[in-house]
Amino acid sequence: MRTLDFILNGEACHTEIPEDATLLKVLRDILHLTGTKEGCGEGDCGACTVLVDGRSVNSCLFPAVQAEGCQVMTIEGVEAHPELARIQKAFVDYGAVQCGFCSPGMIMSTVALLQKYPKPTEEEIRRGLSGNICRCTGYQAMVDAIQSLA
Amino acid sequence: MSQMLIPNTVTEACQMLSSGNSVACAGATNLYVDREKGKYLDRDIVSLHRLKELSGIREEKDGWHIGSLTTFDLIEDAFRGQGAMDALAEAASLVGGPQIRNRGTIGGNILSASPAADTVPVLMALDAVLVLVAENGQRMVSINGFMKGPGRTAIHQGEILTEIVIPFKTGAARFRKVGKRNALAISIINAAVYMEKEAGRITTLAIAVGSAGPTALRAFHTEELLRAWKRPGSEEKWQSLHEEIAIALSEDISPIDDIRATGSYRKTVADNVVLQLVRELWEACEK
Repeated sequence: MRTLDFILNGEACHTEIPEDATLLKVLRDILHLTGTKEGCGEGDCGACTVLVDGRSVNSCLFPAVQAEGCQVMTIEGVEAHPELARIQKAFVDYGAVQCGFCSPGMIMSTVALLQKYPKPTEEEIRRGLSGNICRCTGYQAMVDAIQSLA
Repeated sequence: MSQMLIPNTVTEACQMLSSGNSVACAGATNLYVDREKGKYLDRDIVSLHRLKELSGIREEKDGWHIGSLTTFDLIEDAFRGQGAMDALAEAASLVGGPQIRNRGTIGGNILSASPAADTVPVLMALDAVLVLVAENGQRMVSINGFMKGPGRTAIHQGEILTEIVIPFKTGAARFRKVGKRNALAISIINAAVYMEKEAGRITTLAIAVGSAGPTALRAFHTEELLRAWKRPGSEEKWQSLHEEIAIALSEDISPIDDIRATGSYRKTVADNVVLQLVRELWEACEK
């Protein structure tokens, strides 16, 4: 075990972690923030997407020790942030959520996308979401939801 | 059980890596996937994340110096539209998805030594040189000859790749990747071509193909064929060049059947992609 200090959703977080734990494991199993999902565990599906220092990453592939001193934002952090919560509302309004399993990761990728491109084109949106897989919606509803925000 | 070791300096990293029971980890996009398959379970992991000096791009007298921990997204942003380096931006932009590009590093792409690594053919075509640092000194080696087989390179125990140096180029380069889908696909074939032309003749040419042998490799027979080639004025001449490329490439590459594609499909795709890149570069230089 070793200690890990980082900023989680804007607040200082100090915790004990197993040596080789992934960030996903720390978030879900130790800190009980279960909004972040585990899908494939191989970096293909994007369900575990969180932001580290503002950039989207697959938390299932991220050694938790590498988060030391970093700003980590999860879907729970988005919920608490009024500006970002607009994204969640747009997803609901446009039917971009069906089973919901991919939604936390999709929304985190959207947060990262809109930080880079405040008014993204359709191509930028599709590329921005290309690391997230959804088996329900066919993606169009998400593209529409994100375009409504721009 | 393995330990996570965290060096604060390159020298410390070299010491940690000299034991033979440790493996370096940069962006870690392969680490947990490999461990799931039983690899590295008894090895200590040397996490390089504190070595911030290994991340970033510098322009120096002898060319571009790219830190080994520079991520794909930074490479894409830095080199878009930058002459021949645009091919490296293109390759970096086609790795994985955004989350992988935010984490995966060029050093990791080289040292993982996948035959399908997307940046490696570009680095080969642009004559990249690798800076390898050990506790007692450093050496510089060409990427051409460095890749030894799937998962194997010529790096020594206790060495760390710190920089990739790419000499400035006056010609043009392109990269193409063929996979099953646009995002998160491993290349079935990838290729990079660098070309300099003068008075209707190719003066300098480098062709590198990936996913078509145990490592990405330079297609020397095909390069030789094309160096002797003169201005192909008609569509028929391009057609006959296609056939000649197919013959020359069969001397250069040895694609195999695997879960992603058959060897013969790979060969056909490689023939087409190399011709396409050569033709695009040729015609772009005409303008």
